[in-house]
Amino acid sequence: MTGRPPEVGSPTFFRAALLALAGVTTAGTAIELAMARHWQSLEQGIPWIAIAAMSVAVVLVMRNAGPRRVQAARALAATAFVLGCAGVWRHVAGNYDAAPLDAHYGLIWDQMSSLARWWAAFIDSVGPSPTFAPMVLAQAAVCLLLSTIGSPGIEPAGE
Amino acid sequence: MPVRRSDSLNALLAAISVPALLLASACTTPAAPAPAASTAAAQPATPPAATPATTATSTSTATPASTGSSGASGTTSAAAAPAKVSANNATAAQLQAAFEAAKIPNAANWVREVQEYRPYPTNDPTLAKLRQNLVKYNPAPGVVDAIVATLSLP
Repeated sequence: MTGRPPEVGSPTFFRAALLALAGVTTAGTAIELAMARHWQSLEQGIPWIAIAAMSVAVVLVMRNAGPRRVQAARALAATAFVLGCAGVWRHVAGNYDAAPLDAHYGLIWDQMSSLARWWAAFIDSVGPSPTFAPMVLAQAAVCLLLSTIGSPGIEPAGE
Repeated sequence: MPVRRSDSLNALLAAISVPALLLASACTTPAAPAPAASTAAAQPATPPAATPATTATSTSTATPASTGSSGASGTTSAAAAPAKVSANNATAAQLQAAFEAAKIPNAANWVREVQEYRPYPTNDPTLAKLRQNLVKYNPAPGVVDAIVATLSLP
């Protein structure tokens, strides 16, 4: 990704587009989390770690990235991906724990099977946490990882 | 280089379609049970089930001793009115004792939620911030009002 704009449709163009998508997604998620005041507990700091990792990763591969920077960016993106997936799990678990407080599910929670309980928590029928929201960080991480495939900095013969 | 270009295109399509599918599935959650508005009457709801034996923090000496219970005064002592504890400063034990005195079901769990959303602005006597966050749990009618009724500011 050099100074000249890449030719539309070229691999360099798509790498730049994917990297831009990763950056915009990360920034948007940060704004969304800030609006939701997602810092009420220590656990709610997890996505901020992922956002920091993604921000650094995007900067690392933004221009003329060498092999080391690309590798570091990939590691950071992989970390963000894992944290995003962990966020889904924590949201489901949070919904599960909050179920007894629910006006409807609180009455029947003890009679429900374990599978039914986890399903209700997973599909967001109970609890306050949006189940799949953290996956947006995993998506940004995947975009960044894809943007490094065939990168001249790490795979000179790829292009 | 037509092969390379199609490879890149496929990668881009995969990067966009997978999250799009995830987003679509997240947005199509099945209908939740009928939400119970928490703006019902201010009396605490009777617990739908026996208060579960949640492993809360100690139930120590935090029973909120309300003033004026020593008789001899001719005031109209509201016997059922729970003693108020500080929304911002009360300990978990104090909150739980207050909630249990107000017969709020799942007191220990509500204590956790009240503490999670601290601090509450002292210039908002209605505790709107707390109400806004507790409603997300879809509580039974009256529960939020009962919780707020046991709390004071700061």
